[in-house]
Amino acid sequence: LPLLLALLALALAVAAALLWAHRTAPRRRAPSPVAAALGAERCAASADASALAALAAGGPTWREWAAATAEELAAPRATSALSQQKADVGALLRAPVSSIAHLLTRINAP
Amino acid sequence: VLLAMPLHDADDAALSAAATSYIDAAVDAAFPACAASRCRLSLRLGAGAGALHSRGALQAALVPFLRRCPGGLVVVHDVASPQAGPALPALLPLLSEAGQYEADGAAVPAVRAAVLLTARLAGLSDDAMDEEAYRRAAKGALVAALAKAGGGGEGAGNVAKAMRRRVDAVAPLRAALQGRPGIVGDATL
Repeated sequence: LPLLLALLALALAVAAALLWAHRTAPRRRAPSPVAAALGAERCAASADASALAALAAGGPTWREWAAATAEELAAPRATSALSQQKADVGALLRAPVSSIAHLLTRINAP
Repeated sequence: VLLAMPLHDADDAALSAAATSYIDAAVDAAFPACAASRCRLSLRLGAGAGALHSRGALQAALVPFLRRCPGGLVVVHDVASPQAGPALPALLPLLSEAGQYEADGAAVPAVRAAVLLTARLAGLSDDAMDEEAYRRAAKGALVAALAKAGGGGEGAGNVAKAMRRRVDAVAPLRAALQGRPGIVGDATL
């Protein structure tokens, strides 16, 4: 019995070591060019919404547009409006019926 | 981001050099970090001095910039110019969610760049519209103009639709810019 327990402990230790190596290995790899670019600073992330609104037609509609656009530019492209719409559609397909009306209000026309 | 202007029959379809300079200065004010880090590139498609009119020329301008400034701001003027068609396919990787260029056997990612397009669009109204109505009208006019610029074939139509899908935000370019002398053909001031 002590030998069996020792063998079991050894097997568990080996499994834990393998699991740890598997989970940490990807972090040791050099980042791909896309991943490196994702980590780079996006200068447009700090847009001046009022100056952006000054480029557009003026009025409250376009001031709101500029504020929303400046906010969107601060997000990675993967979470842009179109991606958000795709994510919303995916969420819609998985959502319970009670949530669908709420989600529908978030999905803009293409 | 697309900034659109109505194009009337009597107008010159292309923006003047004065117009692009003026808009670039306004863009620098709106994106000060890009201007301060010299990571704002301004290009013009179509005909005329300094305009890019081929896919290779556009990619050759974009790749060195994206290598230096992967998170930079690219302003592309006159994307709906009648002469812009051949260059347009090279714009798609810049606008795609996971877009990248291949140059000298290496990938040059475009995914962190922000892109601002300007276009003069026929059939676009001067009248005030809400944001959603304006976005739909401008995207429709953009597709029509790009398909025409590309020769009207199936390939041009596909590029036009791909461009439409990749534009997230649309606004009218400020009327004050349009009215400045020398900015466009129908200057009113």
